[in-house]
Amino acid sequence: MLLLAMLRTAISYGSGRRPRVEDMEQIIRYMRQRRERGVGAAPSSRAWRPERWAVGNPDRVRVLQARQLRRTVEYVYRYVPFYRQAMDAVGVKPADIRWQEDVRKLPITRRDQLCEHTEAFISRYPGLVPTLPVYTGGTTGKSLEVYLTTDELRYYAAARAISYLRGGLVGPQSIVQLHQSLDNSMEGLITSMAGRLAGALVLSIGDKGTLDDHVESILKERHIPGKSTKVTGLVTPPSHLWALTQRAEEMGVDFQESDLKWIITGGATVSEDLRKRVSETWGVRVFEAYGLREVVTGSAYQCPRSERLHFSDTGAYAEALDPQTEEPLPAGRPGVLAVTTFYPYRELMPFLRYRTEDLVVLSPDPVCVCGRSTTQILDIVGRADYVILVGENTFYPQAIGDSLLAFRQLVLPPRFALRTEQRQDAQYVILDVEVDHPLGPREEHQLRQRITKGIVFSHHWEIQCGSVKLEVNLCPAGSIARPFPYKHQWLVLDRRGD
Amino acid sequence: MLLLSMLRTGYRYWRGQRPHVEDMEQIARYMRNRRARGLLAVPASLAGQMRGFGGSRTSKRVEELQTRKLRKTVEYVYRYVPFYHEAMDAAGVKPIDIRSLADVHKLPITRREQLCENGSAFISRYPGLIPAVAVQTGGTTGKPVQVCMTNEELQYYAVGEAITGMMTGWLGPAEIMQRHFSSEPSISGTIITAAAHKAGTLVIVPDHSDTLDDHVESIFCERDIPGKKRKVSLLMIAPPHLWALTRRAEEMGVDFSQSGLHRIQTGGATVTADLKQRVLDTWGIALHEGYGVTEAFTVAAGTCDQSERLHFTDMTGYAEALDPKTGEPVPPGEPGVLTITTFYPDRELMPLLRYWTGDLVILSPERTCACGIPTTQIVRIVGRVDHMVTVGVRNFYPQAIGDSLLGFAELVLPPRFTLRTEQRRDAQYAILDVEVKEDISAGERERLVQRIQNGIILSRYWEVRIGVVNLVVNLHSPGSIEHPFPYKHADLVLKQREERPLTGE
Repeated sequence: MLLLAMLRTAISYGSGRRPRVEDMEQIIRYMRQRRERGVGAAPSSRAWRPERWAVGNPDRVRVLQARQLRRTVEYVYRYVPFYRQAMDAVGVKPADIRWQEDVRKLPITRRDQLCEHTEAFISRYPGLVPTLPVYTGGTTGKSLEVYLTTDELRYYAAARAISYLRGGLVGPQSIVQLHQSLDNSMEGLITSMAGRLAGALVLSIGDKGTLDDHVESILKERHIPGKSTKVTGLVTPPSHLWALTQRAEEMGVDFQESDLKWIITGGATVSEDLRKRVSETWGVRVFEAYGLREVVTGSAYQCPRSERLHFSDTGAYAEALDPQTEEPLPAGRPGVLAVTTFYPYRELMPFLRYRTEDLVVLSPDPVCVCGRSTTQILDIVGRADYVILVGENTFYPQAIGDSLLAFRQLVLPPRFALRTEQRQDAQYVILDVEVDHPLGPREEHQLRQRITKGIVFSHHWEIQCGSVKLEVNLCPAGSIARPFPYKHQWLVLDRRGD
Repeated sequence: MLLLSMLRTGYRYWRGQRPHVEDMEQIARYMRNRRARGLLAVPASLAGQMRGFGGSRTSKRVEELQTRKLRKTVEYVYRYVPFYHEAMDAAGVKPIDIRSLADVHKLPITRREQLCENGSAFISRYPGLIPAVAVQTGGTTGKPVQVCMTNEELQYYAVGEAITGMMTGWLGPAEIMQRHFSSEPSISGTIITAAAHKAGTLVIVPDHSDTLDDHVESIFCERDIPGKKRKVSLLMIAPPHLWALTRRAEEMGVDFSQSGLHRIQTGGATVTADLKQRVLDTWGIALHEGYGVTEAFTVAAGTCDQSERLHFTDMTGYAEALDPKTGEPVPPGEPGVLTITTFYPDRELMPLLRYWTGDLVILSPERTCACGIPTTQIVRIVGRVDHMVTVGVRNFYPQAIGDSLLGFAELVLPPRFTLRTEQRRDAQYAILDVEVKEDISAGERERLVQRIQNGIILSRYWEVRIGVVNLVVNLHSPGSIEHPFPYKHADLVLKQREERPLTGE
């Protein structure tokens, strides 16, 4: 039965189909049992890496990608109302898309469109049932909602569990401490499901407890049969990792007493300072993951031998576009990352050329230093819009402005700017906002406090536990030279063009 | 394949074994597909046969099955669970001594303190079991009790719940569930979400930064998702939150008849008759109440359709009411502490023998309920026999509350305090009475109250922040609280528990 499951999985990957979850779970059980016996999760033979048969050969990757692309375009044209209409509007038929070069004929998908016509992006393929909503910040102030099916969720979890087991990160002896919310966050849910499938005990801390509790939980001895005595893996956003490390230093913990073997971050980029700090304290490597909540399958993971981030080219197609002309840029130049997610890995809501607004530099060399042939992000330069990452959550000007409307002492509609700074103790979110008229020191203090409590992100767990701190600066009317665009959708788009 | 799965599942249930999750998943898929086509989860003829099977369940057959499962459980825990091996040896009981339900009283009683202090000894050493899920609940010593399960157990409970939900018609691919139970590390949130996903139900979890207005609006919001109902159809919520939500909806002047709700399920705390009536008067539907404790979650009780009683599923455990002082069984109809034995293999990683829940209940003297089902029934939940207070859905013991009061130098230290809850018109109130060292000025008093309100452990939770629970702090002069909660001495908790009258709650 195991052999059959392996064969079927390999054939599915080889022909660009999504393997059966039941087969993958059987493979996971086998790998888990091997890990329990203290041997590697799988024999080292290449037969055990069916989804990576092509990764060392650029030509094979290209052929496989082109096949996936054609299949995706056919699928979305047939079943996704938004793309049928958009492709008809630009006069493109599925038959026009044969190779990667043809991608430029396809329409670009913008976040605003997804926000306003979510239901039109849902596939009408019979039998697909949306069960899991994933929320992320929307440009209009309303959260952007995308959906997954249960089968997709199980597939992502199984695929990650196999990758965890094979990479030796997680196994039946592991205890994983997870600082990602499991509600409305696909990433936390997949990590938690994958960890459990691989046999790890997953401690979902989520939004509970203080920084002290989090540090203590890492160092606490647990006597659970068959498990390591302490937490072996940590999954957390970079801002929280920074604050956690700072707090651990203040508490005077002996980092050598920790059993941590790896740390995975996600939701924001990792600075050089953080990498160095973690290496000097916890003494382990930080694995960085890049991805957007709404794109799901178009993620990138850190190369084991370099600082580059590898895209999974068999699951998606990544390109860098000129922010203004939206034409593809030559690799090596900073451009807006656009991602096309391949069917059937993304089945309920596949995207064509989704404009992430992340400014990235892609590697001109198709083969990485580690030998894998894959698209690589050399650097994440910044954003092409006004989104601000607070902890692991994204906020657009509209949502921030809306939450400032209640403060009558401010210039209304609010004129404000927001930025983040990584300081010694934590990440600081600095809000500059204009007041309508000068206030006395007591009034200023009270207003600052009310804003600190009332602003949209003040209830997120990172702020509550102190891993992100909020600073409010009250500025005279008209003194903020370039306030964030607010209340006018066109202004956002216009400024993005600047 | 489906037929084989159904046969195998039926046979294993009948034998008192846990069915294969793969078989149950296949059955759930079949039911989901039928529900997606607008049909019943199973054909009417099959449903009739299944009803027949349920109806043919007599008291005697239930007792026989319970006895068989009890014997199997005792053998299992004696062999694989270190705590019970030791405890049974200490009590001089061997598995062979347990032949019928009447022998249960020979088994040792398990207390929360033991689970809290010696959690790892409760984990089965059966080869191949891997703890993968950890859930927590309040502990008597201030340290939470951690309950573990395997991934296979989680999948089994979830798919079991999905099948039950689809058969009774409240779960299905067209439904949209709004869930206010927090997800991990809470057991009900984890299982219900996984079950809903398996049944194809879309689960919406309002963000903790949302307000009561957002929660109401989300219920009435029209959604345009292919294959789904246009509005939220299922609401999973704690009783105090439901109270506050209903009140807020009334204030907002919503037209309740415009809601798409067809089921409201509560859990985590008991439901008052007032709340039931209020929900009926506003939302226009009957409330479904769930009772269970995290540590023994496989033995939960749900509302009877034809009475006010709560039914236990006698297939997965054995419930008894014990005298709070002597620990001996009380006659049915008398209030006693609910004690639960969870059966193996329904609970495999951490089965519990005679777990002392601390809940004072009255079990029905009749084995057969008014609805015709022979099962153990809770007629009434009278209160608690210890000082645990449920605020929202969270359980707080004196130790945790006292610890969070230690930071206030103006208070009598170690703190002398009491905590109680009251359901008032607008929300649940958590009322903390605490002694201050000496008289302080009105301004200082006000500031201290505010600092306590912001700093006490209860204030961290979203229920307090959004107004589902209102926190009131009353300051008292030293020595004026007659019966302060026991704090700093675990033995005092036990001592005071003994001294407390049964009707004290």
